[in-house]
Amino acid sequence: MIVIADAGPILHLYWVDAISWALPPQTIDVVEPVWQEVDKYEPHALTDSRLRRRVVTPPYPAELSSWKLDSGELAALGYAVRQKDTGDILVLCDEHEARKACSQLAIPVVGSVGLIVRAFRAGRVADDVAQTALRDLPGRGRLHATEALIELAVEMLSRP
Amino acid sequence: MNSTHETTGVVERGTVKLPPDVQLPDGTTVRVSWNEAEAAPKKPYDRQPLTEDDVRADLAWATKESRAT
Repeated sequence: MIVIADAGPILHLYWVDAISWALPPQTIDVVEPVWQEVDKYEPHALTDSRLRRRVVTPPYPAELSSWKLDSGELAALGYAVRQKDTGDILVLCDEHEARKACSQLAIPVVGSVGLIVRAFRAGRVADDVAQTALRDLPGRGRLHATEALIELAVEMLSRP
Repeated sequence: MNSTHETTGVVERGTVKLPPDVQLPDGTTVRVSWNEAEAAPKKPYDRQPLTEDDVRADLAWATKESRAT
């Protein structure tokens, strides 16, 4: 599985102290513009040994021009499109527009909410820690999501 | 002799969290000061809000039994 991260999940999970257990336990490719974006906000987040810096060069696939993507999203999705034929891929992203692009291009995508719930279900973190991290996402985690949506995820933690 | 000590804590969910080496007995009166700019909520990092579909898609991914990550 090739996992490719946009800046959002790295930053959100770092801000709610969840990066160590919520990011998938494997190598995660971070393309150069995304690396620089994270570095601008939280350089320390990049010390996580799972993160691997990748250089990608334009031009990016033409199909990506249909969406309003920033340079990091464009590079990350461009990299994802190129990797699609080499095996399973997963993009980590919390930006609505980029997620829409992933869906249309049949690229699997998940964001901070899903990563936290998955970490709990995989036994990497206790229920109360996962709950706190989810509820912190819209505040100190700076995730653009309403509390009502976060409660949907919190509820999921108690389901078998 | 009276001496005054000073430390810095962080507010988490409305409660001031102090460093673990600071142990204050019950009844201790403390003075709190804060920086208004720091206390103001920061705006979301993402440009657009996540929709219910986005969150439900995340939950579907997270609860799929065969998930390897």
